[in-house]
Amino acid sequence: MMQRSLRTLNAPVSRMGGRYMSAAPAVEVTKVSVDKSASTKPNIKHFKIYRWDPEQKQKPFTSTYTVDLNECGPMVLDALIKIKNESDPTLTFRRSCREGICGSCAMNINGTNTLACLCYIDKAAESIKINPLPHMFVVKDLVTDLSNFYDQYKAIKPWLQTKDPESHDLSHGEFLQSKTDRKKLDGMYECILCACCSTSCPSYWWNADRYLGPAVLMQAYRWIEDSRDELTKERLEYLDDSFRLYRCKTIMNCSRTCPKGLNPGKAVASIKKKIADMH
Amino acid sequence: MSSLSGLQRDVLKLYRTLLRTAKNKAGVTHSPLEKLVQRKFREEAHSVHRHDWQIIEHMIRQGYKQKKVMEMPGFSAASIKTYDH
Repeated sequence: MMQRSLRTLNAPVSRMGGRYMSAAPAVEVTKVSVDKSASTKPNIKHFKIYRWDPEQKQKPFTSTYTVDLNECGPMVLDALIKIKNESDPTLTFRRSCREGICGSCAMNINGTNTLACLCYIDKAAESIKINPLPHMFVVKDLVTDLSNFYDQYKAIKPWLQTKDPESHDLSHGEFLQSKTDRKKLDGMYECILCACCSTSCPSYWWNADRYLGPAVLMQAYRWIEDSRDELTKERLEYLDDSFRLYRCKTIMNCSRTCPKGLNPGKAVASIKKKIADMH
Repeated sequence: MSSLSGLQRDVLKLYRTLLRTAKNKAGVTHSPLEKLVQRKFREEAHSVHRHDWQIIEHMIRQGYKQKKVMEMPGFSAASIKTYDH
């Protein structure tokens, strides 16, 4: 999994293929005739998608759809939308931004948890297998129940907490922070809570009710590391639990699968170190 | 009392929870809300075979979600609309 640098994460993305285009220099363009014969041959790809509709009282099954990649965008989400538009309108999946920032289209593509809008269709593979996020309750087709995941995120209190009652006053203004302190949050604030990492962790599969999972733990560490937050000790004490934090066995599937190139495994290790220093 | 399977016990537990929530919300017993819960539950229960455990478990989870909605302060009533295809 390529670790994307902060520069590429913050670089503005133009509409053209996701690559940053600088202002076009004045260059003479000579007209070139396009050879169309190569592109007319259809490039068929099979998509094997998990389907289940509990309202229709049926068992889960796999539907296979064929898509001509010449008539389709490069991403798996483009193919899914094309299938829904042309082949099967009953195919159900979550999607919103189509640019990898909302985290709605998280699913398991060819065995890896990624965002469908950021996953290129593998031209070499004979078929693309799309499943919902593993070990999650399925609501319909590729839509999973993330309410437990969101409840766990709520439980770590992901907001600024201060002890000083004066700071609760609106006239307090901004909570100031140095550049070095702000740098500590880089690599953690970019998390879009897509649940790809938590759903890839075998420890989370077996203990989803009590283990918080890498996504939530990284956000907990983001608030622990935030210099403006004053209840650091209480946050660490909340996490100091054999199930909430210490189900992590450094399997590191989370960092490998993160579609944004973040490192939740490292954040969890940092929490463990901070708690060890606390004792 | 014949011995109930674990799944049957879960279904009955959900039924009791939903009826209790309806009673607490309406303030009285035998309210329209309670009758609606009963009707919906019986319709859903009859629509599925006893061995379709996956669908039954899914329905139980959806039932607890509906219970959460019923407990919300803004909730006051509900109705079922059926469409004849």
